[in-house]
Amino acid sequence: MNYKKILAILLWAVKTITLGISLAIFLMIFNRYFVPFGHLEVAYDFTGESEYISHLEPWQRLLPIEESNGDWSQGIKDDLVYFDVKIPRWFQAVTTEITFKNPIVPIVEIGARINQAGDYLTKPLENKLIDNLAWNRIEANGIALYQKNPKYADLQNFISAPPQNEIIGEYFYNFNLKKVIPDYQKSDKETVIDRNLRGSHTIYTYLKNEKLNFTINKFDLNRYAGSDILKVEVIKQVDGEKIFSGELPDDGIEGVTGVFQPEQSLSIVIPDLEEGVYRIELKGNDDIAISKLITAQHLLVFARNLFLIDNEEYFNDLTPGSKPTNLFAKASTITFKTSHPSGLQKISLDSHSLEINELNRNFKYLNDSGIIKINVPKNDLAINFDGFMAFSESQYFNPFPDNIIGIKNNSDINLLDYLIAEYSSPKKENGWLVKSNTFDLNRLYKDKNNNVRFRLSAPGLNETGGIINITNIKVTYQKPPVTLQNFPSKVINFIKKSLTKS
Amino acid sequence: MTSFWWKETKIFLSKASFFVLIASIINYLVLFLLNSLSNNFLLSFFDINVFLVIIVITGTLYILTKE
Repeated sequence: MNYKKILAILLWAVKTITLGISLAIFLMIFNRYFVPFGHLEVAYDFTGESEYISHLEPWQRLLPIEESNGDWSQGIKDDLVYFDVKIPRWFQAVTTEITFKNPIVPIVEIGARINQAGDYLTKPLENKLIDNLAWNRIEANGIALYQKNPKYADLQNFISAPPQNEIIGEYFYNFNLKKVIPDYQKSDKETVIDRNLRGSHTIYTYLKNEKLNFTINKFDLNRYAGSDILKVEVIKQVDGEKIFSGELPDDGIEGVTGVFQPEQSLSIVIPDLEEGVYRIELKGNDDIAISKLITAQHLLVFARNLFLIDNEEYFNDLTPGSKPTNLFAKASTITFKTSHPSGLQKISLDSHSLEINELNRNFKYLNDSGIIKINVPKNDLAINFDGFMAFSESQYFNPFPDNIIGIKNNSDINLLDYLIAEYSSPKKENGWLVKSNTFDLNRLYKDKNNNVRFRLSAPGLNETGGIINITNIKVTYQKPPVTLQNFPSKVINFIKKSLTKS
Repeated sequence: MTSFWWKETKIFLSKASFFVLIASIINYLVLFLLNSLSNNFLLSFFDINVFLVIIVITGTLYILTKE
């Protein structure tokens, strides 16, 4: 073969390779951008930065990233850590796969943020209490029933008529059984909560043969810029039906003035409601103060959080300790936090006391008795808890059936007769535990940069002093694949969207 | 003989570099446009500046070898 011919073949090869590489790059980009097969997988393996998955934070709750036996991992030393996942375009769902080692705490969970207020949709990663349970187990459609003394052979029989005189534990399963208070009598007197509460709150009440009657007053603290709208929803607890939705608008001041405008008020009167528990969701940012609640209902408990602000930090006419608050709580874990020097105080919980002597630190109280009385002398406390709290003992009630208990990290499984769970144990791979969970992206909250925040929670980890190691976070984005049937409509939609954008 | 090899090699390098140069310019322009349309999506996983480097190298080679 002469030299000229060799060069001609070489030129042909260069052209083919150039075109091949160009085509491969375009196909790769097309696949990455349009994801025609409906499946895009990204991972953060702690060896370097990921474009889509942030590192874990806050750093104070983490150990430095380290390598051991070829595996890069990071240790978590506190109950809650977070990471963000970028959502590059529209997807229907994301599946997170966490590879971890948990030698210490009973429960590890993953949550995805669902609203601006910071609520999370939680799913299980590991529950050692269930994994170590040697009870009789029956399973159907991903739901498992554990029985201390086997009585049910069919899970459906148990679900349709759960026993009322035996204790049932629930884990990521909700019976939605109707709560009935047999000797309930309505009250002729109004119940008034005249404590200033900051931000979102959740209230449960009970009614029978009476109107639901609530008046909610709010004003804006105007400590932050932006509009301050309080959304109010009333939900029937047994089936989740929303029976009222309304809002109290901004006071007209969107700047940072610190000036309070007159209270705004919303009255809700709903007649002809069926007997049962109703949930009132007050959703707003931390620039809103709920100043008064007036209701005809006399059973009234708060769930998840209470943010008491009757303190001189907020109100100049108050002097330290001039408006103490008494609370009645049934909760196993209660945390207290203040952000201002005037909120430092000693609170009493029955015969115990807890000194809040540091700013922005969560002070935790573990309660293993029944209803306790909490005295908060100076307020300005954000209180988070896992049970319910009322402003007087007579207002307290358990909005859920008494024989059904949610499983937590400190639950005593042996007190139960049954345990029902929508939970599968993590897989074991090379000494690590691997667990996947899928979240519907329509339900999740995306920030302005299109990131969804995820939370890894290990209740009680901080107290044990133990470490949970994470070696890999894999995220799979999912959407319906492009098919011959939906291809034309997708192209038309894409062109329309591009034209609208430009 | 040496002059024949060099002449043929020069023609080859000129044609090959010209082809790669044109392909790289087209790739760069199309990817730049796509990246702008997709809110910098491409730059999140692909560095299109790779094509600028190829354009400079092949462009230089083409100038040096063209008749």
